[in-house]
This record gives sequence, structure tokens and C-alpha cells, in this order.
Amino acid sequence: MMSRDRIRWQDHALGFALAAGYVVLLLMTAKSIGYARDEGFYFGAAESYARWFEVLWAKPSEAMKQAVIDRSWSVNHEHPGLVKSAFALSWTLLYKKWHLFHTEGTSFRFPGMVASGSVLWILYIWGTRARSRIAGLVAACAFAFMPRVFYHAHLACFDLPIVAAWLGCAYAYWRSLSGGGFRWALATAVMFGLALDTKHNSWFLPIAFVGHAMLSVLLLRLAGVGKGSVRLPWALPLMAVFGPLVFFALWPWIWHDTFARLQEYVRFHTGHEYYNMEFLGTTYWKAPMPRGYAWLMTVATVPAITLLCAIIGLSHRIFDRLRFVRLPSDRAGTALLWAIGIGVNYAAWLSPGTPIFGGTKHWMTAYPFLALFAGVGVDWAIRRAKESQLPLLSWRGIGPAAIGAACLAAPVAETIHSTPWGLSNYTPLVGGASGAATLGLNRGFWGFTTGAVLPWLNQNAPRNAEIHLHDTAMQAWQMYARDKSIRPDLRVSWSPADGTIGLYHYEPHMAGVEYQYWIAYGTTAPAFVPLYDGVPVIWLYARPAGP
Amino acid sequence: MKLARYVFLAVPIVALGELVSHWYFSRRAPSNEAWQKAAPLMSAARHPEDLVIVAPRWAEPVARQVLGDHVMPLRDVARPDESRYATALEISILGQRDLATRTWSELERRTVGKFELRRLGNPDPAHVGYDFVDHLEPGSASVSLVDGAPKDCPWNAKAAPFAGGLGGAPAFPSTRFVCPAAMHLFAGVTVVEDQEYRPRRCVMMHAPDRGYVQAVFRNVPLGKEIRGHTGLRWIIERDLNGAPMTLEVLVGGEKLGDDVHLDGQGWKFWRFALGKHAGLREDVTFRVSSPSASRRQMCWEADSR
Repeated sequence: MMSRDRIRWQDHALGFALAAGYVVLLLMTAKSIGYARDEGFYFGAAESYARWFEVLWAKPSEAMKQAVIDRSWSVNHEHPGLVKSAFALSWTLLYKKWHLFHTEGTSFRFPGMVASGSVLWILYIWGTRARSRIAGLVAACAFAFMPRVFYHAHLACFDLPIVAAWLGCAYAYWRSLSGGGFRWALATAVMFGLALDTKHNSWFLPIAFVGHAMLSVLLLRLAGVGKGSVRLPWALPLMAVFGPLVFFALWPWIWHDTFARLQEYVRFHTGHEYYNMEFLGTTYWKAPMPRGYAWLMTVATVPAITLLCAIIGLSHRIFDRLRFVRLPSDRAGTALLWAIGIGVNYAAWLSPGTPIFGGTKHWMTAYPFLALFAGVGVDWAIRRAKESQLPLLSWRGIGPAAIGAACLAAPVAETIHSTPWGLSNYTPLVGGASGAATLGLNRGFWGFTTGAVLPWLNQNAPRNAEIHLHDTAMQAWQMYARDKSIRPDLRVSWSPADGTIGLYHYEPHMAGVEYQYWIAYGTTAPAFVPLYDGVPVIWLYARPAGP
Repeated sequence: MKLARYVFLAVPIVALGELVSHWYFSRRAPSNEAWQKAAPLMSAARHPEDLVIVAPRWAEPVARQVLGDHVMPLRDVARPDESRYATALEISILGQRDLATRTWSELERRTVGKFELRRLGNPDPAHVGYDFVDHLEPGSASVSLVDGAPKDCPWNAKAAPFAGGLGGAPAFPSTRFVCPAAMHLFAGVTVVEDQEYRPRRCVMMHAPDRGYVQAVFRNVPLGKEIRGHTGLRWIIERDLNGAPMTLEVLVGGEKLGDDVHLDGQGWKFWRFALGKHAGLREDVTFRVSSPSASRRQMCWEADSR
């Protein structure tokens, strides 16, 4: 798969514009999306790391001492430090020092948004280089307007940063195979190190690249070419050397007691505890997990047109490969690499032992490749439209614009409509949010929908009311207070039995908390039930006023 | 072959179809305003003894909000089952039906906006003569902790509230019989979630370390049987690592039967025929015990019918 379009500076300008536009859109909608449970933990970790950076700035030798490192970096050491360091620096510089943000929470979230924007830039450039500008543009937009991606792109979490790092590493690897030489091989290795320091999804990168190298050789031999010319891609040995070095250099926690701490890190993720997840009316909380989870959730949450175009793009490439069994013009094996990018990132969910607690975010690293195939699919449709000689659709300019706009209309509408409910959004294929509720699909987790009820709380809570937060982390609530999103007189209640107002974030396994409110407050009638497309996601109980 | 040239049209057609479907599905279920507007008509459609059920069940919270406790009281919302109800008002949206009442006959049907209101008749309603959960109060019952000599557990109308949150004990009601022992030893009406996470109103009597806790209901008008359910919070029970709990039922001091509840059994049904006691007025005793008391938060409900 090789493009007719040469990359020019205007392409990078457009890629940058896509990235910047997306970051602006995320900033505009950030306030309405409540703080997720895990964000609360990462805020705390980032502040702790920020204190270390201050020591590093003032007394570098002091900062290298184990006691000083451990004091700051022991917080949340089950995840590597790169992204939380970015949160820390953004908060320190952009909020505290330069006052570029009005709210602290947004300053913590900003690096994740930038990472999300960078995904669009890479997708546009990769799609353009590999196929056409239309394919690149559609790939970027198709990714940007996946509702779940849009939600996660707002957060101070690792999920979009690892998507960016995974994609960036795969792109660098592809460039190293397409005539990019040693420079891009080295870039692949550095990107691998950054990915390792972002999240453990990065462990699958070597598997993907080795698999790609082996399958490429096999396919070339099947095509009757390349005998005796098997060459190890330069990127692979460089990854083995520089990846761990970058990883080590950027995570102070492992500078001391390295092997013990690495063992602990690996053990945490390979033996991760099971959380609860509702799927088709059943709450799964221990193995075996349902094998169909990842596939059905993808179908239920990624816009159908994006999936259809991705299938067209993928099958179109397979068809080409079968039809022309000869030396391919694409020695980098682009389509194969993209397909492996999807396959490897879904593979973990073929095992019933893999926890499913995080929903779609765990295989979101596959979505850029899905989007690239979708770009190819739309490109294919536009080319066929040109050849069809149908009025309008075959007209130069109008046809591509009409088909491209049609393919992005539903994803854009669904994505905008998903805010601020994010994880409660489902595509029309399962009947939207109400259809998903009837099917018994998860309506949300992490307690972030508290953000959607803050206006009600600010307006209706009695003075000095005590709020039981249920699934919202205390640190997330504190960030609302620091952002001045909640009235300063509101307090937190630690038990459903106490307090004036109780939040209930719906998940079946948490139903007992709702029933505790019934007894404690003496009512089964919620005081407020905001509906998302008719579906209750969070609701509030208020203690009736005393006599 | 000519047709194959136009296969690409599937792309814009599906794209626009999805856009239209999105518009349709996002407006399909009733909004808050629609619920508020229909609420007076729903209340008016309900007859005094009707059980109110909502289909699909996920819409129930908003029904409870707009209809209030007088239409959907705790007793009905957290019912042990539907057998005691002669009639029900089903509030249906999206063409959904309640599964528990699918064999009931339709008495009336009315459409109000996006809502379908159906009055349903139970083909075989049970007559409950005495509900023990309703009568757990000083005038009707007494509670004691028995380990050697019985210790009276006096009624406290202003007991300290407590709730264990996600993985802890169910809520301790503020009105309960409180035993002179650890805080969790009491008898009071609470709600636990069953194996489908549905609410079940019941009498919580945590098993003590030794002996048993008993509730005695005086002068109970007995029917032909005593039947009920035992359970505990599913989130605790599902771990399958608790000791068995026994609920022993005595009538007039004579053992009628017992139910041994094992973790994993969920909201478990049991029934004991009253035999020679049928139709009489006698004292009925419920005793809860376990060989190991850790997290043995027995919650039971029973009636005589």
C-alpha cells in the first residue's frame, strides 16, 4: 500500500491543525466531564512527583537520594512515571507558574489532551503516506469521533497517552521499514521506551513487530520472492537496547532496588485483581470472563459506519493481496502491520482469564489501526464513486466531500451527544443508551458522572450539607472544590447512613449502597434522576427534612 | 457486474442510516419532562392495592422519583416476590414487559404518550394473613440474645444509624431491637440485594459468636403455612467463604422446621406446613445461628398464609 500523495509541509500543517483543533474541542468540553475515580489518584501522584521536580530543580544531587525519590515516587508506583510527570509539569508550569488555565483539574488533564491530538496528527500523516490524503483525513476524524475515545481523551489518565505512544512507535517502525533507515529505527526504540514508561500495553509492541517481521518474510516467500534475503529490521535490536534504557531513565522509582521494584510492577499487572463489570445482564467479577466482551463492546460503542469502512479497508487489502500474488510494491507490509496492530491489542481478550473491568479503554490501542483501515475504506468508496459516473457522487470535489461528510456525520453526532455521559453512550446498533440498558451493558464506572449533577447540588443542597460520594474518589471531589465547581460549604459524608445527600452511581454490584440510602433516609424516591437518552445513570437521594 | 459498480453506495447509505438511527434512538425513551407530565395519570391509574412495576426495570428509579413513596413504598419495591399481590399496574416503555407478571391477565390497558399502562391480574394471588417483617415492633415482637441465659434486646427508636457501604453490612435501621452485645447484634428491618442485585426487604439478625438471636412474635394468627426467604447481601454471599447460617422456626415452642442457608444460594425460598397449628393463634419464634459468625448477616422474611 503506497500513496500517490507526497507529504509536504502543508500536510504537517493540516495534521497540526487537526491536533490543535481537537485539543481546543477537548478543552471546551472538559468542564462538563466529571473527574473519574482514577484521575483522583493520579492528581495526588502528580502533585507528589511535582514536589520531587522542585527538589531536582533546586538541589539536583539531593533529588537523586533514594529517600527523597521514594518519598515522592512511592505514590501510585504500580504505574510508570512518564505521564504523571507530564501531569505534574503541566500543573506546575501551566497552572501555578504561568496561569494559563483557570482550573487545576484542566491543567492536569492537558497532557492527555495533547497526546490525543498527536494521535490525529500521526494518523493523518500515516494514512496520507500509506494511501491518500482522504484516507489520512478520514482516519484522523474517525478516531477523533469515536465517543469512548472522546471521553477518555479528556482525562488525566494513561489511556490516550498509551494510544499515542503505541501508534507513534508503530509509525516509527513502519518508517524504518519504508526507507527511513537507521534514524527511524532509533526513533522506534526511543518511542518504545516512552511507551514502556506510559503503560503496560507497551509490552505488546515487540510481539507485534516480531510477528510482523516474520509474517512479512513468510508472505514474500509465498509470493516467490525474497529467498535468501531475510533481514532483521534494525528497529528490533535497537528497541531491545534503548527501550529499557529510556524506561529506566524516566522513572525514578526504579533507580534504586531496580529488580525488586520491576518484579513488583510486573506482578501487579499480570496478577491484577478482578473488578465488577456488567455485560449482557450478568455482572462478571471473577474468571472466567466472557470471550465475546471485547468484540461486542466494540460493535456497541464504535460508530457502525467506522466499523463498516474499516472492514472494507481491511478486506480490500486482503483481496488485493490474494489477487496479485507477486512482489508487492509495499515492502513495509503496511496493511499487515495495521492488522497486527488490531489483532495484538485484542488478543488478550481471547483469554477468559483477562479481567474486563476497564471496558473499552483496554483495547483502545487498536482503534487507530481500525481508523486507518476506515480511511482506506472511505478512500475506496470515493474512488468507486468517481468511476461510477453517477451524478453528484462522481463529480470531482463534490463526490468525495459528500461521501466523506456522510461517513463522519453519525460519528460526530454520536460523539457530541455522548458528552458529558461518555461511558454511558452506545451506538444505534444496540439501540443507543436505552437499548444498551435493556441488554444489560455497563452504564458507566469510575463515578465521573458526579460532574453531571454538580449544578443540581449547588442549587439544591441545604447549607453545609454532607454528601456521600459513593463511587467518586475523595481526591476527585477535592478537585471539584479546588476548581470551585462546588459550593464551599458542602461537606463529605463517609457513610451512606450519614449525611444529607447520597449519590448513587448505577452498577448492579453496587445496588446494596442504594438500598442503604433507602433505610438510612427512609425513602425509595430519589430527589434527582438526570436521564441520558431516557436512561438513569446516576441519581441522588436527599434526607427528608426533620419535623 | 454492472451492479457491482454501485456496491460503494452501501457506504453512504449505511452512514446516513446510522445518523437517522442515532436521532431516533436518542429520543426513543421518555425524558424527565415526559415522566413528570405522565406521573399524575399513572398515579390515577393505580388502584389502592396495586403493585406498581416498571418495565424495563432500569427505568424504575425515575418512576420512584415522580410517583413517590406513597405509590411505590419500600414494602412493594423491595418485595419478597409477587405472589401476595392480586393486581399490579405495569408502567411500560419501549414495548418492554415485566417477566415476573408475564402469566398475569391484562385487565386494562392505556397509552399515555410514550408510556403504556397495563393493569394486570394475578391468576392465583395468595392471601397473606400475617407478615412477620411488618410486625417487627415492640407491640408484636420481642428479641433476645441467647447464650445460656437469654438477654433481652430492647427496642430502640433512636438507634445509631450505620451502613457498611459497598462491601459491608446492610444499613442498620434507626428503629431496631438492640442486643446488649456488639453493635451488629440486633433485629431490624433492612434491605439486601439478592443474586440479581434486586432489593429484598427483610429482618436482619446477625448470627452471634455463640448461641443464637431469636425474635418471638406473639399471638400470631396462623394460616396453613409459614413461608419465607433467607439471604444476605449477595456481594458478601457470592464469595462462598462463609459458614452456613440456620434459621429455625418454632410455633408454640415446638420446632416447625429450619432453613440452612449456604453461601451462593441467594434469596432462598422455604416453606413449612403448619399442620396442627393451622388456623390457631400462637407465638412464632425465629432463631438465627451459625457455627462461625463472621459476616453472617442473616436477613429473612416470612409470612403466614
